[in-house]
Amino acid sequence: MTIIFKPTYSCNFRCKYCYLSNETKQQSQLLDVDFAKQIIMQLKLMLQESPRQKITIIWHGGEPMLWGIDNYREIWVYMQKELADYEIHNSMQTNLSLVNDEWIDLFLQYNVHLGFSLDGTQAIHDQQRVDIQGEPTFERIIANYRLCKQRGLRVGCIVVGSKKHIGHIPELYHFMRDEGMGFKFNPLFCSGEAHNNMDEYGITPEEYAQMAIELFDLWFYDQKGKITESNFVEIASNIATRKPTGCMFSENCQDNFLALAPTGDVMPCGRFCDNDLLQYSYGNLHKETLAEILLRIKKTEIYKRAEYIAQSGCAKCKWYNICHGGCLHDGFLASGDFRHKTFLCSAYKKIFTHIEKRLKESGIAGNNK
Amino acid sequence: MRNVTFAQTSILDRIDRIKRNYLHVSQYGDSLYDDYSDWVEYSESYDDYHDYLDGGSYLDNVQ
Repeated sequence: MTIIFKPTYSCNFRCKYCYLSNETKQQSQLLDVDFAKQIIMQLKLMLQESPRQKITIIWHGGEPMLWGIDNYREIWVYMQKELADYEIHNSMQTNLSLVNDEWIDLFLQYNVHLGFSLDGTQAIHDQQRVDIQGEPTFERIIANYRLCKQRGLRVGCIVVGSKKHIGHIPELYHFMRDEGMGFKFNPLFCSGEAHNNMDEYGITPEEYAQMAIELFDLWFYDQKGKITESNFVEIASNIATRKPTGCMFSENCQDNFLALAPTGDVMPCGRFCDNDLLQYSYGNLHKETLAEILLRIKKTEIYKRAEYIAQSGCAKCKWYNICHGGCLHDGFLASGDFRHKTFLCSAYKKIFTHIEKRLKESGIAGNNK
Repeated sequence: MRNVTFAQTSILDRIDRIKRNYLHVSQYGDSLYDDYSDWVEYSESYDDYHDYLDGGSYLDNVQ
């Protein structure tokens, strides 16, 4: 199980497409570390009652490092003591701006892997990802990335594909390749602050498909490259095996993912963590235990989305078994109804078809015994 | 004939890893889609999956 743990929505960046609104970021408080410990104890109780022996905790925000290095030291020591019988893996999704040697020492000590965002070349990144003063951030982030890498920390990158990338996919790929930076190219979606900036940064599913296909070919045939594009590996292996992995295309992501908001709310996933979406909270840990909330999840309409999708037109689609209607939140964005299939449906059909064709041409699909 | 690229190797590794993690109940077939249709158990957790990939996969899709 993967738990997305958000100790704060506060952030020292003001990215143009942030899934959170600036109001939510400004109003957010830091999670009390003693309450975080109570949550860990509730996780322990859950693990004692379940066959699961392994949990990944993704520390996320806002900017999760704003919670402070002392809080992480305290909670990871506590977890090591209280969850010693279980395999716990910590990772963190950060903007990487606050990393220094002291943080890296702590990450290495607890084997914390980092994901961060860098939107490719400086010209594009600095338009999209600015700090709270509106200043560009590329130089700080690339310097900190190189420091992490030099120190032996595992770091992977997310590129948020926007209108600014149209016509610049080769530059993006070659930059990532030359940095040796594994990444995934995600399409910008319209949520939070992105609502206010769609004219300048938003892309259509068609534009996303075109960019993804161009990027796939650059990566797939590159004789020099030594980097992984995670989305493509996932989609290609999903196509070849018909066993989708990852949260986007699994039959029911709610079997494996949950998010804990700084308010104490248990949410369907990190994307639903926003003060404007509290109606989708499964319950609040200030009022109920995690076990009580988990017992209720399978009875909720959100959990039943997989059934709705299976009974919809999606079931007749060639790609149903490797897509399952796509991301729950993308379905919500499509229509305000989480039972809806992803708004990226038309893009996925093009991308899947293209990747399947390349797999067959290369012999990968036919020689996978 | 071109060499297999790093990207193609990454995909093949991933496919092999999924294959190893399924309990397979019959021989693999030849077609793209029939090969894996009767695998009955998937033992690889999402956590292994996240650990396997090194490309910003720790949180899938939040921007």
